[in-house]
Order: sequence, then structure tokens, then C-alpha cells
Amino acid sequence: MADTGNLTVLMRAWQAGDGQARERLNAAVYQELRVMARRRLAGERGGHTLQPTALVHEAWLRMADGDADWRDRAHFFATAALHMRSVLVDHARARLADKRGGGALRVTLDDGLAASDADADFLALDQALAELESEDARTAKVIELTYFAGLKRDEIAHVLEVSVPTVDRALRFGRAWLRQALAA
Amino acid sequence: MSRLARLQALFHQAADLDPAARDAFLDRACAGEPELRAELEALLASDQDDDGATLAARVVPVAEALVAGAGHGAPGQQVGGYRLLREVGSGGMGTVFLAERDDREFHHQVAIKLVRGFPTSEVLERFRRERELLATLRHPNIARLFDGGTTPAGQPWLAMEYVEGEPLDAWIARRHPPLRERLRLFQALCSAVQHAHQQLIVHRDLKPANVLVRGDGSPVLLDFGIGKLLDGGTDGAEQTRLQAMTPAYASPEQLRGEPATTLSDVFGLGLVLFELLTGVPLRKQQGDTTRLAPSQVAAAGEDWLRADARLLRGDLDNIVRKALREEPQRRYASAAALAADIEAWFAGRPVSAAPDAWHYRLRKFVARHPVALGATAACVMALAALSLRLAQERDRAVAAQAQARQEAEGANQAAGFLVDLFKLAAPETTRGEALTVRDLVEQARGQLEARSFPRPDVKARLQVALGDINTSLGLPGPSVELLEAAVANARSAGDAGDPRVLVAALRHLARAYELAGRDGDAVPAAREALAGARATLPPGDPEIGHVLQILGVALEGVGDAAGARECFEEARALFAGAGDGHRAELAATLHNLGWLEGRHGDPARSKALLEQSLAIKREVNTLVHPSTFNTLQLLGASAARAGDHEAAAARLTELLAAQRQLLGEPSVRVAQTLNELASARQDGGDFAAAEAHYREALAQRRALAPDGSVDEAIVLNNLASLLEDAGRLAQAEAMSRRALAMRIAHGAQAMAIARNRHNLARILLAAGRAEAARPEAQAAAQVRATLPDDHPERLDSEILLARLDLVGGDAAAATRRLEAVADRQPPAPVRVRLAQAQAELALLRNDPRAAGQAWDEAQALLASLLPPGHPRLDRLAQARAAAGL
Repeated sequence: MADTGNLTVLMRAWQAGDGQARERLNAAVYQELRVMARRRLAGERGGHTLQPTALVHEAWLRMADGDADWRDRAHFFATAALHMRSVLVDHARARLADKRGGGALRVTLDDGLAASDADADFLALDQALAELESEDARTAKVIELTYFAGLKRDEIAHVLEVSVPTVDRALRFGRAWLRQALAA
Repeated sequence: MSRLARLQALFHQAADLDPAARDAFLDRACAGEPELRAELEALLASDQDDDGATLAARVVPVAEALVAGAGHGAPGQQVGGYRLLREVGSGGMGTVFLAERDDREFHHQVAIKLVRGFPTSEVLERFRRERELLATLRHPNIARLFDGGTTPAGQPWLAMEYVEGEPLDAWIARRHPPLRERLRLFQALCSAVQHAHQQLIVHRDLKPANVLVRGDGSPVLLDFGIGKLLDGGTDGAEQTRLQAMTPAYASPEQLRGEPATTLSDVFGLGLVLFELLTGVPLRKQQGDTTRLAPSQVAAAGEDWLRADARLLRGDLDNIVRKALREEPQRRYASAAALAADIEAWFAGRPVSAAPDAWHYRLRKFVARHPVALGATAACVMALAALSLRLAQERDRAVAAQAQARQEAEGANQAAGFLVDLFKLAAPETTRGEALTVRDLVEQARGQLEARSFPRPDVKARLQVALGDINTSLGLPGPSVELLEAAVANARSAGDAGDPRVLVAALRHLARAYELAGRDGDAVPAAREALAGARATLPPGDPEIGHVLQILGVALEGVGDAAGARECFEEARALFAGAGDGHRAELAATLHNLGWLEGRHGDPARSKALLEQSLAIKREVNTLVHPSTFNTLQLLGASAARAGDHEAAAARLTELLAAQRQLLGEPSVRVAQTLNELASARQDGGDFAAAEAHYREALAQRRALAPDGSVDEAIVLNNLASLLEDAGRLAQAEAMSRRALAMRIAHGAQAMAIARNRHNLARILLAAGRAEAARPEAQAAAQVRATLPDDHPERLDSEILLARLDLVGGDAAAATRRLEAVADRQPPAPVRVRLAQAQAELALLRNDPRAAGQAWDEAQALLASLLPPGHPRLDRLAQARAAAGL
């Protein structure tokens, strides 16, 4: 596990414009997410729905120290969301490639979790989100923070430095836009 | 406004309208734009109130699948060309499986590590590059990397040499390997790390868990998988990755988030060494790395570790400390250097890890005097290291022979300063550190004995240097042996050798004899040195002056004060004419003359000479220098003898400040000066200041020797006499008894114990406890009976016994004793006590007139010895009044 004492330091450094700190923060968050997810699966097998957002929250609780304030928290979640998304995309792509390449069937811990159309569905969502991003980056960001970090409206408003009603409107429009794009 | 922005604005306006109003709104807003209207209607149709559940449904399954496969694996799974057999371990880096190659042609077992990683394409690319680099590591103590890749799920894996062994910490705990075996294993690890460093690969996470020990006892280093490219210029490849280190074992710079370097691995090796030596991880000890003492940790450990603890003390402690220095640049420069120091330990050679305190002191000294020392500090530092490394010292000495004379003289002067530093370092350090310095010198001596030299005079030169160091450390025994050997070597070189070496050897030998109390041997050695110097050196050569100084001191030692004066006077003339470069020697000669005058001549002339010497020493050194200490001390002592307690206290206060500045505390010398200063204050009548100084001296003594010492007992005894003078008899008795017990416990000389008993008896008698006093007084007198019969202490004992006779009513016995004392014409302080006893005798005989006369005499004598208003004068007057006279 990453040294939790460094988390706040890394976030502060990143906020202060240190790009390397951001990459290290990414690495730390990712590592923690994986370790946690694995432990949960080992201990809570069966029927438990793994919300990525819940993982992010739990990661925050485990990694943040007493020094971190709400600003740190917002930035942490923004990082985690971006990261969670790219992790999931890579993973879904790898699994699809595996199937297409005719490789040996993957053995997973839980048959119910075997690769499925879920990968393709997810990648379609990611694609649509990327399109929305190219036209309206702020709306896409609101969606990302909601679905990959589980941030609440007021938290998103803080991260994006906009008002809460603006977040509400972006969320409503973004959802409609994505559903419509995925249905098409 | 962009198309999407317009769409968004219309969406929000229409979204909350009821269906009829919405249609009307759309008709109006999208008039003539059917595509816009169609898009807007589709969006509004998708505006469901499900709180986003349909989107979440696309995210959750992928997340679950991801975490299900993350960093895991299972027996039977195929990874690359390998089949996983069973899990053999897991940790922060991932999970390790025993696996075998599954191509049926040959069964080759490997360890497969499924790496928890960062499977973006950028990271995979970095992973691939590092893997190629790591595959180049070929070392018997490094686990080979065979292969690697990425699983279909995007998880990186490595195929490594499968090592059948057990983790280092478990191996230590189970096998209790002897120290030698543990250190050899450690050297093998150093060699593995050195190999990697030569390929520009840093391990970054050295710890016992990353070391496996094979059945044959050889170690294998695992997990070079997080090595970092050192060649720079690669995009982010040298990026520190936070997850890839273990905080408990990380170096200070890694914990600060700085890049790891080869020196971080040296730190890691230091941690491994600590654990090898002590059986416990360092961090659990919460050790301050500057004060680490693995020997102490081992001494508190299990039986099998305790057995070796003594061997760790000193060198191995210092080696661990050096590897674990906070500042990377102060650690060993490489893993190879660390292994070499271990090898030196095996060979009994001095190690390069000098005691930290010594460096620290030197550094502090240099820091305090940056201008004066700036130019020479580097030279002194270099010499300090060299003096303990005879191999290099030999080369240097050979080279020095070939060098111009002036240069050699410069080197000698620097070496002289080095010796001065040793003088400072040796006595006042705590026992452990002083031991280390002595150990090093002792090792250097063994090393020198064992070595053969093509030129015996070169060996002689080294023996002279080492002998001088031994002298400075207060070890006249080894010093005499070394210098006698040096003289023999210098003689055997004959005409081919440097005649100066024989002269120097003889001169140092004479000094060593003198310090060893062998004045009789010192004189002929010094005379031969002088004859040699006059025969081989030009007149006025400084070496002749040095020899004269030694001969003078030796002659004084055998009672030839006149001969000593001649030597010192000639040396004074020589150094006075030798120019500005020899002012320090001139000051030393003036000091010796002042000392001689103080003992055999005129106190005023002595004082003048000493002050002249002090002035030159201060002018020459521009900084506090140890050479001023002796002169200040002599000036203080001579002032005290002359009864000028104020001047004595002033000199000693000055000395105290200088010693504190240069020596630090606690220090034997500072404690000595405090004691002398307290005595001067006591004689001057300032009892409060005296008590404070005595007590501070006690604290320093206690800090230097927590179990007490003869030196502490001396201070306790002095303090008891102060308390006695002040009339605080109960405290005086307690203090005196403590001093006595301590002297006995620490094997003090019989005469010192007798002095203590005598003082205790006097205190007891003053407190009216004659019966308790009697046995102590008798025991003291018995020992003192061996002294010459006019010795003041022997006379004092007789006076005390007479007073005890008086308490017992035996006037006849008392009279006999006191008359015998009077016949010896005792010195003034004894006569004070004699007159007091005579007054008591007269009272017993009911002769108030004689008693009054005796009191008058005692008071007059004491008044001549002490300054006006001294508390002891008052106490004597009070005693007289109490006796009714």
C-alpha cells in the first residue's frame, strides 16, 4: 500500500502545479483501488455489487490523513474519476481483444463476472462520453465525476468552480445526451 | 453559440414544461430547423428520471470484472508460455506463483510474478523497457529474469529464476548462523548490488524479505523488478513510483519523494546489515541512526546474538552507522566500499568508518573557526584519515621522503595538529568512543608490526608517528615499545637512512620514558638525540630546539634544575632567532622556563615568563588552542600558591571558557578546571561560588563515568572539606563517606584512601563524635606512617590523634605527640592546626593564659594565609569564643 502520509503532500504538490506529483498521485490511487478491490472480493464473495464509486470513497477514507481538507478531497476525487475511467477502458479493451484473438478462456473467481457484452457496452459509453467531451467538456466532466468518482453536486460544483444549479443542469442534459447517443 | 450550447439552452427551457406547452415552445424555437427539433425531441425523450441508473449499469460490470482479475491469478492459469502451479507469495508488488514451462520439451520451473501495475499503454511501454534492461543482470546472487509480458487482461507479468530458499529473516531466526557466516553472506549481497549498479540499475527496495537464502547458504537478491534507469533523458522512466517501495525500509531521500540513487541502495544494505547483526529490523528499534549501536541491540537480544555483541562494538557499529547516514553523500560511496570495510574488519585492518563523534568534533571545530582553518581543514581531514590507514600512510611517508624538505615539514606540522586533535579526542570522550580510538590505534600498531618495509627508516617514521599518538592517548606503555622499535629500525638503516628519523625517534622515546615515569632512561635517550641532532643538522635547526626542550624536562625530572635551565635557555635563543614560523615553539620554551622558575626559582619571574608565553600563543593561534591550556593552568596554580586567589580564579575562569569552547562537555579537562577553580574560590572565601563549581564538576564526572570514579571521589572529598569549613558538618560527613566508599570501590591508592579517612575523622571530631572518629584517624595514621617523618600529612595525623587523646583525657599522650610535631617545624597550614590543638591542651591543663596565646598564634597564622574576611577566620574566632577565651 502506498504511504498514506504522502497522499496529502502529493495532492498539494499537484495543486501547486507539479505534474510529476500528479502522476505519482495517480499511481498511488490506482494501487490502493486494486488492493482494496481484491480484499473485498476475497472477503465478500457473492452477490455484492462493486460500485467503482464506492471503491473511490473507500480509497479516500483509507489514504487520506488528518491533514487533508475538503479541497484535497475534491481534487482527489477528480483524479480518481479520471483514473478509474481509463482503467476500466483499458480493461474492457483487453478483454474484448482476448475474445477476438481466440485466446484461452479466462478463469475468473466468479463465473458471473466473466467477460460479456458489458465490455462492449461500456466502451460505447466511453466513446459517447468522449464525443460529448469534444463538444462540451464541462458537461462531460460533470458526468465523469458523477459516475467514476461518485461526487455529489456541491462537490462537483467546487471542483469545476461553477454553481450547483449549473451542475444540476449539466448532469440532466449530459445523461439525456448520452442515453440518446447510446440508443441511436 | 455552438450548436450543442444552443441545444442545451433549449433543452433546459423545454424540459420542465408540460407536453402541450412543450410542443408550442418547440414549434416556436425550432421554426425552420426540423433537424434541430428532431434532435431536441430525442434528447427530451431520453430525459428519464432514473437518477442515472441506466448509465451506471454500463460501468459497474466492467469495474467488477476488473477488480476480479486485478493482481491475481490462480493455479492452472496460463501466463505466457507458463502454467501457474501454486501461489508462493504475495506482497505490495503483486502475487508470485511457482510455474512451469508447458511446452513438454523440458520442464523448467520458474517464478511468475503477476505485477500489480498501471496498465496504460505508456506504462506498459516503460515496463517493457525495464524488463529488457533487467534481463541483462547476470550475477550468482541475483535472481535471473527470463521473460515477461502482458496477460490478455492487460496485466504485466515476469518470469524469474525460481529460488528454493527461505527469506533472510526467517533463515536467521531458524539457523542462528555465526557472525562470520552472516557477514560473508552480506558481502555477497553487496557484490550483487554493486553488479546491478554497474549496469545502472538501482534496486530501490532492499530488505530482508527480498533476500532468499539457498540451501547452501548463498543469498539471492529478488525483485530488481522495480529498478530505475539511471541513464537519464528518458521520458519519465526515472519517475519515482510511490507504490514500489516499502516505507519501513525506504531511505530518507525516498521518503522525501526524491529519486532513489545507488546511495539509497547503500542505505538499504545498511538496514539489512543491521538486521543481520541484531536479528531485528531497525525501524522497530526506532533508532536515531546517528546513535545506532547494533552491538547494544544485539547485547539485549537472544542468547546466540548476545554471544557476538562484544565483537560488534566499535567497528561494526560504525560501519552500520556510516551506511545509514541521513545524508546520502556521507554514506559509503558504493556497495563495494561497504563490502571492503567488512573485509577490513575480517582482516583486522582499520575500517574507513571512523567514529562519528570524532568527525563531528572536528567538523564543529572547523565550523567555529572557518577563516583560520579554511585552508588547512581539508588537509587535516585527509591526514586524520591517513593516520589510521597505514597502507596509505606508508606510501605517503615514502613520497614525503622524496619531497622537498619544506613540504615534509609542512606535513609534519599538519600531523602535529592531528596529534593535538587526538589529545583532545581521547580523554574526555565517553568510554565507548575513547575505546574506539584506542582500538584503531591498537590495530594500526598490529598492522605496522606485520608489514615488511623495504626501508627500515620508513617503518621507523611510522612507528614514531604512532608512538606519538599513543603518548597523546596517555598510553606510555605501547608508546615506549613502538619508539624503542623505531630507534632500532632507524639505527639499522645506517647511512642510507634519513638521520632526522633517528633523532626524532630518540626525542619521542625520551618523552615517552618521561611520561612513563622513567626519568632515568629519558635523560640518556634525550642526550643521544641531542648529539645526533647537533652532528647531522645545521646549527639553529628547529629540531635541535625540540630535543633541548625534551632534555630539559628530563633533567628536571632527575633533579638537575640547572641543566634543565641551560637547555631551555638555549632553546629559547634558538627559537627566538628562527623567525616568525617558530613563535609557537618559542612560546612553549617560555612556558617551560616559567614552569621551571615556579618550581625552583622566583615566582614573579615565573609569572612573567608564563604571561609572555600565553601572549605569544594567543598571537600565533588567533583562536583558542589547546597549547594555551597548560600555560593558563600553571598561571592559575602559581597565583594560588602565591596566595593571590583572585588572580588564580581569573586565570582559571579564562581557562574554563577556553576549554568549554574547544572541548565541549562533559570533559575530563573541564571537570579538572572546575575543581581547581572551586578550590581557588574556597581559598578566596567565596564559598557559594566554590560549592557551585564543585557540584558542576561532580555532574561532569558523573556524566563521564555513571558508576562513579576515583576522580569523582576527589571532588566529593573537596566538597566535603568546603562544607566542613562552612560548618555544615552533617552534609560534610555524608559527602566524605561517599567519597571514601567510592575510592575504595574504584581501587584508589592507599594514601588517597588514608587522606579521605583522615578528613572524615576530623569532621566527626568537630561534630563531637570522637568515638566514631578514632578508628578512621588511626587507620589513616597507620598508612601515613610510611611517609617521611616530616611530611605534612603525617604531622596532621599526629595532631588529630593528639586531639582525640585530649577528648579521652590523656593529656600526657597528647603532649608527647604535639611536641614531636612542633619539633619537625611544620609548614604554616599545619602550624595553624598545631596551635589550635595546643590551645585545647592548655585548656585541659587549666592554663587559660597559655590557651589564649595558642589561640592568638593560630588566628595570626591563619590570617596570614587567607584573605581578610574569609569565613574560616570567623569560624576560628567563634571556636575561641565557645571555649570561653
